[in-house]
Amino acid sequence: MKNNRFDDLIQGFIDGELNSEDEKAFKEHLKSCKECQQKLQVKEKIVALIKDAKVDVDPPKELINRIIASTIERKIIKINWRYVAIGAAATLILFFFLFTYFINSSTPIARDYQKTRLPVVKSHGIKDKEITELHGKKMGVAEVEKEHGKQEGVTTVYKKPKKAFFEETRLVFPEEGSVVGKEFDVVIILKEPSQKVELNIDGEKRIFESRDSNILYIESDSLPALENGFHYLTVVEPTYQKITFFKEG
Amino acid sequence: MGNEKKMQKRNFEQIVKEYTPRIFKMIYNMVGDYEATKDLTQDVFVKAWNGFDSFRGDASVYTWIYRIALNRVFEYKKGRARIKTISIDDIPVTETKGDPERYLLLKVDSELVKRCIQELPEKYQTILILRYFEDNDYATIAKMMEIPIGTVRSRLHRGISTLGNLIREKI
Repeated sequence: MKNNRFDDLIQGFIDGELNSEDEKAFKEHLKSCKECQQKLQVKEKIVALIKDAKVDVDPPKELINRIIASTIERKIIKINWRYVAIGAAATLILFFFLFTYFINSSTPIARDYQKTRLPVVKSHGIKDKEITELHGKKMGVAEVEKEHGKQEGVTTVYKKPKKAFFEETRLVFPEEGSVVGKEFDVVIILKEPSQKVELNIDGEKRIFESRDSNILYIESDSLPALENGFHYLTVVEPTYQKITFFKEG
Repeated sequence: MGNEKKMQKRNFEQIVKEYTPRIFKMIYNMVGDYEATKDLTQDVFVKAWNGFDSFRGDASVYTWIYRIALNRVFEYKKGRARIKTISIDDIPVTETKGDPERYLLLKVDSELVKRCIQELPEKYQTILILRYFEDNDYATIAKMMEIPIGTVRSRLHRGISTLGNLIREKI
């Protein structure tokens, strides 16, 4: 029992952690106790081995700089949401304008016609004011019949809609040829789908095909370059068709 | 930048300069891998910097940083333990066995001792390193490991005995 108390003190003695009273008592005991002497020796040996095993390794020189760079010198990028919001708004506005531009440009809109009832105006004579709107576009419609070699003509004057760069387009059809302004697209509504239509455009005959639809869409961009600001357009074949003139805008 | 922030940065820079070599040594002695020690040391200071605002100063900076380092090393070792096949957790913690005289006469290679220390159960390895490598007293170790002083002493005692058995098995 006596030794158990000193067993507990061996560790503290080695580590210099005993109070002066315990230390004195342990030293006294050690003089006469072979077992404790041996235990102490073994422990001291192991502690010495541990201390010898310590590797005195230095960190690489750049480590301190690396640590400083990754701590106190680290830049934190703060997102300024105000700028993000402004950027997002600017992008939206840009997209809005681009979208509007494409809608209003001469991009074919004929694909929508199948779903749309075109307001058809039977015109046998001068119809200056028959302008309707489709998809926000000014539109005039003429139905022309050609019977027994006799042609009836329509002359329509389109007022300038909202868009700029277009003053007036005169259409004289078919006797003198149809005059289609630069910004006009031409839509010919045929009786049957997949019909070929022969047009005389500015004195040159061209054949257009409506493919699966009974709507033939001719973009003004595909027409020859203008010399005087107008196209002269005459339907050569077939003898019956409705012609719709579009003004983009 | 406010004066307080500037001061904080200066203080932390000082801490980094003062403690990096010591923390590095301690981690290296626990881990034994130079490259891993570099990363772990950096991790310790990054963690310390992130928590620097909340460091209340009721422990010394030294104790605080060492505690972070110990936790980081334990975390690392746990990850490593999953792929480690050797475990000495089964080695009984008993008094040194065999003939102590023979044991004392043997010349033990310090590489072997180092390997044995690294194979010790975490609680013994840590306590031996903190005491005999880092030369901390019981009170400091108790604070770092958040254990009573009596436990420090008993763990040292058991740690030494376990290490002794392990060395004897290997020589």
